[in-house]
Amino acid sequence: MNHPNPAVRSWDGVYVTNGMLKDFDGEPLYESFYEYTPSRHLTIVFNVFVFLQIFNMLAARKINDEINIFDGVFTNPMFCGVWLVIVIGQIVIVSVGSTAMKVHIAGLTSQQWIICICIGFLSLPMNLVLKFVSDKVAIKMGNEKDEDIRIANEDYLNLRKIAGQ
Amino acid sequence: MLKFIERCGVDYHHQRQKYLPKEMLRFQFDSSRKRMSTVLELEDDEITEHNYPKRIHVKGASEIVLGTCTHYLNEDGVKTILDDQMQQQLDNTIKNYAKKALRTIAFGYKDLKENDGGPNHETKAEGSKVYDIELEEFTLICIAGIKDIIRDEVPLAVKQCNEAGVRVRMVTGDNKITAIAIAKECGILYDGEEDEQCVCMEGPEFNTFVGGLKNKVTGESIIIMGKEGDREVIGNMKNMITVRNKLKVLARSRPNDKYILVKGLRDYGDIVAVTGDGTNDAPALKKGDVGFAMKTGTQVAHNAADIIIQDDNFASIVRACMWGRNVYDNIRRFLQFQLSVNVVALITSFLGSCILWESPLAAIQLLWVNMIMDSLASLALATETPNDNLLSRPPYRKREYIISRKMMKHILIQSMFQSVVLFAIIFGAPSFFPEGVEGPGNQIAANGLTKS
Repeated sequence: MNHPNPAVRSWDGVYVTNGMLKDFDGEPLYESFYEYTPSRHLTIVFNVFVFLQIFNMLAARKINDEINIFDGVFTNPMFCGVWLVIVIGQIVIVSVGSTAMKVHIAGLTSQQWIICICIGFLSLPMNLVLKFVSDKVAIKMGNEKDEDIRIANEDYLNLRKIAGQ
Repeated sequence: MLKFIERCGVDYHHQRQKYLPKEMLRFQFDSSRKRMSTVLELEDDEITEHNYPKRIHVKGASEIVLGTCTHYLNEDGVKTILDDQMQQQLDNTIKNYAKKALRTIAFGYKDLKENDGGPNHETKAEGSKVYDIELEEFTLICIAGIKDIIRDEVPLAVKQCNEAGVRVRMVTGDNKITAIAIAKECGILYDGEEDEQCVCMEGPEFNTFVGGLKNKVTGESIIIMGKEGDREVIGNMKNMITVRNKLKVLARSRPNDKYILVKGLRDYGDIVAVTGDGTNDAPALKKGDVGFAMKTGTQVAHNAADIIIQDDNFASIVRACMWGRNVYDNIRRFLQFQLSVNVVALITSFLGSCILWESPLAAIQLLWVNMIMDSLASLALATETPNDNLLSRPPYRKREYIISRKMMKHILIQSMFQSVVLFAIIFGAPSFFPEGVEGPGNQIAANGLTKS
């Protein structure tokens, strides 16, 4: 709690860190001295958010609950390239984005970076866990009848049986 | 045929110029006529039976042409009367050829008399498509067997189709024996299956079995297909379902039979892809959900089709199927990713704003996430190339929603999980994030502040 504004510093909200809140009493107390750098706290929120998506993107290649999400990843150079561009772009934005990108002007410390990436990585294990969860937990979209699905599956199995002769 | 003539040492172009008059009389081939004939004008010095310089040549489906013949040319080229014994022998030949998957074509000729079938030889009976002079007294020249070479990849492609949940049915104008032989070579039919009921049918038999096509309102049979639109219904839908589950080969089929088959399958609720190359196939090509025309097909077939197969190869249909599924999958990949991102962004910004009175994610950051990152990612996810796994699973169902239940599960729970993580950071960060109060970052920040 090292906020330059004593009014903020003295406020006992636990989630107020440096620069997070604007002066809430209307008149800035130290107008000449007091300007904002976007908070490091929200920079971390932004960074974790993006890294959750970056790792989720890897899992998005497989939509039929295949376990190995990296199967054939190098057959698509476009995918690898785009993934790298996004990762590098994110690192650049957080490190030197400064007030333009509403991130802390000094970026994050290396320790914070590691924690951000580790938390971001959690979307992959979550994806893996979900693969073992029944589809029934989610709502069904569209107007398809269960009966139709059953008939279609039976039909397919019959056909496979014929083909297997 | 032309190659065969060349091998016999006959110059085909020369013969054609010599015998075909400029305004020739030709009765075109048509799958209901199953024959084609041309009237030749002979040179003066050539002798015909009736001293009239015109002769008609016919070629066509062997049993039809054979039916019009009363004579045949024997080994020495002498015109001989076609007796029962010879007839039997010829029938056996045709059958044997057919069993070897050969299509048989018979050739015949007849010397014309003056005023035979009208002054221009063009009269025909009312309602019939066959001209009077084509009907009888022909002399059989020969019967030839033509083999369509089945490409090596076809049996594999048929097997792949079956594994992918696509039933392959063969609809052909050939006779039943030829059709069965070809179907066996392609892997559509297995040994011993052809005798089962409804597995192999002939066009007319199929037509009566399913009760033809009827007008829904008046209940009358429909002769001209495709004109009545929605009012067309299959006569006997119960039989049609039997056919749908069993039928593999439809031999001797007329264009109408093909149309009725497609119509019946669609009415049942199947998705039907139709291949064809002839003008007669056009109604069926149009009726199917997807029409594939062969590149060698007629212009009419091309116009009626949705897709033209450039290399005339059945295996291309399997590839088309694979790519189609891949495109669908790519859309789903993109949707799953994009929707999870958006749901998380929405929850975080909205709930965050409500509680903190300030969005945890700045507008410019959301811009980067939505515009650049997501667009690039969707581009990347949409360029996934197909693999063989796509062909070993069932097709998408007709009414299946593009966001499957599986995707919904991932989207909902994944985004809920991510939101929880983000809110944990928003409200609890100081307790597990080292803030780096004494770190260099804050020093710089403080310096920046004092200077401004």
